Amino acid sequence: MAKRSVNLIISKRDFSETAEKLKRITTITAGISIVLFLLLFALSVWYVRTNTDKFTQMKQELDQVEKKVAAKKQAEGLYVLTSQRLSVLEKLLAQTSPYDGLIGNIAGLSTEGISITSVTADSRGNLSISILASSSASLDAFITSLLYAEQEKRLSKIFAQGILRHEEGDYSLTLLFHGEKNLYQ
Amino acid sequence: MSKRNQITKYIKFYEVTIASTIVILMVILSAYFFLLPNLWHATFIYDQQKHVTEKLTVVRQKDSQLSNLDVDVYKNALLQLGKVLPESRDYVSFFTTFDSLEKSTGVQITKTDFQLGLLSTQSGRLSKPLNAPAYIIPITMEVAGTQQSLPLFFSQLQGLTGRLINILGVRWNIKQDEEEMHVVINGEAYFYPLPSQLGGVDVPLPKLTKQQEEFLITASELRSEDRTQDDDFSTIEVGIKSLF
Repeated sequence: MAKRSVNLIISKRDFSETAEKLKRITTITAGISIVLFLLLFALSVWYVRTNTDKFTQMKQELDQVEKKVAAKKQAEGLYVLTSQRLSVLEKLLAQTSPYDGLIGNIAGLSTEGISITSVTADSRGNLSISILASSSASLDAFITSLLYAEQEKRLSKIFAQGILRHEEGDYSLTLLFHGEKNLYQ
Repeated sequence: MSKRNQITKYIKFYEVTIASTIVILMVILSAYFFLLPNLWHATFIYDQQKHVTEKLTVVRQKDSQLSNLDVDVYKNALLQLGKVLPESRDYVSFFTTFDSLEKSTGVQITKTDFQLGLLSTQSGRLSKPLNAPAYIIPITMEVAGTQQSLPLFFSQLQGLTGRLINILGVRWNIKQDEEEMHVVINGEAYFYPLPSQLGGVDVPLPKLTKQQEEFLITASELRSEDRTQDDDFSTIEVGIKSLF
């Protein structure tokens, strides 16, 4: 087996260079850390001192105002109850549909020789009217008036159920249609 | 060279590095024991201050709102709203509403049928349908009136004068020889229980919408009118107080 030689002595130059580097780094780090520490510590002490007083003052003020508000509990209750009722009522009234004009407007649809015998209406606009026409001509005139009302956008989707001719020569008919808002108001 | 001399030489060579390391360690320890608690304290104060500032703003605003509250308007409105939307089924208020509607519109109510359901309030309150703003009482009524009086009746039925009844559908028959019309009305009335407790002192007051403000004024005025009428009645001479 051949002999191999290994140099185990660390060169003096390399060792002192690393030590110098370490010396420089630790010195700088120590300097920076001490300055940073002092600065942050001073800042935190200043912040805590100034704001503790301010915070205490605010807390006292809050307590005072809270006491004032608590003394007005009755007025608060009155306001809260009223606003709650008003809020519910607002929603309920938004669901209602006016019916004030419906009777008059339905009566207005009637033409000569036509008598409206019964009317059914709901808040979704579904309407059904039963009529009695004295002759086929008056029935025709009535249908024309309905079509005219449709053109005026007071009603739509007119659907006629079976026409019945009575012995007396008059006609009865039930009509289904959709009433627009202006028919109800 | 002795071993002692060797150590001294070693320490001398590294004295600055060792001193700096000691300073760094001291700073770390000081930061841990003094700076960090101080910073936590500062953060806590900052958070608390923020919280208290927000709370103070709300409470100040609430205080000012309550100071400027016209208590009479709200009292009147709440009383009137209690008539329109009572806290319980309150069937008596139906009859008073119908009586006053008959008087004010001239329409005659010939039949009423309202399904009050469970009268035990606690269990009855549980039956509020989902998405419905209030508890519902289905109602059917038959009225007789003219073409002039019925529209007024419909509008008052759905107004704030008495108990609110939402008309869902109407049906009427017309007889040739009769001027009066007989109308069957399907609708629903409502009730809404009062809350059992109020919010905390720092809970902001709910803001009224424009429409709610309008309702508030209308309800308050209607109540004032009612009261004036009551006062008028109280001044009417009712005859001899004693029969003997």
